[in-house]
Amino acid sequence: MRGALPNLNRIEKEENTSSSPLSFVLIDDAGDVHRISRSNLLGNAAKCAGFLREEEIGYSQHVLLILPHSPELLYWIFGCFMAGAVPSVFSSPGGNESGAWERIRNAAVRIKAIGAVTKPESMHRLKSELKGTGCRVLPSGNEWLGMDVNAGRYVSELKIPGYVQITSGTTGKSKAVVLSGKAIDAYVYNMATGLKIRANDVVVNCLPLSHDFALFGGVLMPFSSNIPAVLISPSKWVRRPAVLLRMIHDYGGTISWLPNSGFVHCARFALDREMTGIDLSRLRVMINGAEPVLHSSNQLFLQRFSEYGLREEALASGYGMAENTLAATFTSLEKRASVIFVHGRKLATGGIAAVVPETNPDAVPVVSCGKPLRGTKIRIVNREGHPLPEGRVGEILIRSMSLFSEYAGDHALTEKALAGGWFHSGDLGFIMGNELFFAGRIKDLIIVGGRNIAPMELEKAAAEVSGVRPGQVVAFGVPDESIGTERVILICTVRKRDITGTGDDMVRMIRQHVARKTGVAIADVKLVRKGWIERTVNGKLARSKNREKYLSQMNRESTD
Amino acid sequence: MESKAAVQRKLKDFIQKDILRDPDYRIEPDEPLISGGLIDSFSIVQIAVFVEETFGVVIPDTELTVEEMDTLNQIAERVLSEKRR
Repeated sequence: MRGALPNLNRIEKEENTSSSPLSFVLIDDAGDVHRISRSNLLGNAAKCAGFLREEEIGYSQHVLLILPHSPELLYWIFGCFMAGAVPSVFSSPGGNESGAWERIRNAAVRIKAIGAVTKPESMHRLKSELKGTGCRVLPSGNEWLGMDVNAGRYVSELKIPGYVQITSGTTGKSKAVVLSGKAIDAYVYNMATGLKIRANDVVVNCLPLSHDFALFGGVLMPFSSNIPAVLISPSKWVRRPAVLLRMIHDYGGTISWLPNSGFVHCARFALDREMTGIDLSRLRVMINGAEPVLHSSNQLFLQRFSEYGLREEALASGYGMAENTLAATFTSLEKRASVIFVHGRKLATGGIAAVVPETNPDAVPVVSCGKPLRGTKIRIVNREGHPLPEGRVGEILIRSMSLFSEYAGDHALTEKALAGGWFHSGDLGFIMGNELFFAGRIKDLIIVGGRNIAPMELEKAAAEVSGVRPGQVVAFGVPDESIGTERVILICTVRKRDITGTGDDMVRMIRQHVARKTGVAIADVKLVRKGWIERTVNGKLARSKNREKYLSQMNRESTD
Repeated sequence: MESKAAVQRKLKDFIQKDILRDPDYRIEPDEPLISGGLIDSFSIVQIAVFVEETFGVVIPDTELTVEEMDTLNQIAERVLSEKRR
């Protein structure tokens, strides 16, 4: 599996030529375009590596990168690798996003980070957040730019020592997923092979580099395959989704991806006037991933963009998670991801995927997640852990060369997740015709726009608001096809005397506090009296039961 | 030209009905919409498209940020200042 990264002699030769190939085109938040050649990237990364070494940060030590979407962020990622350090990328939080700062602090403690790199203007804040953790704050600014380093020395040492992906767990504590260099190499190689990467391919990505799809698919896979990648600022894309289509046109993009909700966002809000002259016919793979794939979202995307040359066979999908570096399965190339129609009730309650004609009133479409990538095995098991036959719904287990090594600082959770050498995904699925189909989650995880959100995190934040009864709050997601993702619902038990008037002020306070702590917008906050919230026989919150109760009793109806 | 109150009312109706899908929710003029967790940042473009179609005003996308578009007041003022140009 080694050798996925470029061979060293070639890079050093490139260093000596003035016409180094283009590695990345980065579009920053302001829309400015940065063209980064291979030698430019590696030269600057070597300076970062030199700076880290001078700070005595090196082999296998953990470094947090808290930087905006910028060329610097790329330099630091590669700089960490060159210095032998293990990075974790975080989006840079705004001043009042207290929850995001707290998550950075928790991650620093969990993974015993030794250094954190940030913009000079954020240093003061970060220093106070990291006080007592033993993690030093380092400036991303000019200190390293002036470094006089023997770039060749560091370039010749470029191999990936590992990466730590921070992801939301179901318990409300974020998980630090530790990936070895070997797992990443294996993944990058398998992804490139699976996509049959050719010399004229161009990747276009608009997810944040803190997301595994962007880092492994948008940065490391193209880099190691010697093809360019266009990295669009995620906030720019959110504001003007047509920028993705424009960049695919401008740079001849052949491979791109979005979470399911991104398909809907593009289809709904890429304006006709922004689409003038755009040709998408070079796009050969458009992956729907990072959250459950909806047939309706794929259809919407196809209908919207086929007049601009989008080919139906480009529509692909996959299934994966941070614990497997990224994708575990992927649909075939040059063929649209297949869709089957199954009996909805039998799927939901009986655990059976019974194929029915599309015209059957109970028919629900399920989009294939494809076949396992090279070297990956998928198994569907029942509650007792016994393998299930085709068409039966059970937990999806994964075994591959790109599985994570551990959850940093949580031995018990690691043991449980990797029991028997298989990763227990907590997701439900079934196999049909050798392809994997996703069928829901066992874990109470909410996924909004590709971001994993732990319900407990929201519940904890809501309970901090005065008047809300601690432990008597429940959060869950409700799928909404019109936005292609889940709407987050929060139900809070309150005392009558704590509410004034209609309760709007309290709802407002809860929303604002939860947003500050978690960055999550709540679509609907309901205030209820004691006893409304359903629990399991053991007294635990029964989130799915509460979801059903909400849908049947109070969805979009005014509070009692 | 439309009054600020009229612009605000149209914006409010749109956000309540089409984004929140809760016509009964009373949005205050200075209530933080995005930083207050009422709508997510993905909705900014939805508001921008509405503003463009309803008031014929194109807000430059560098200004489609949480800082600039967080309250009804801010958005209404933005619309009016663009119209005055």
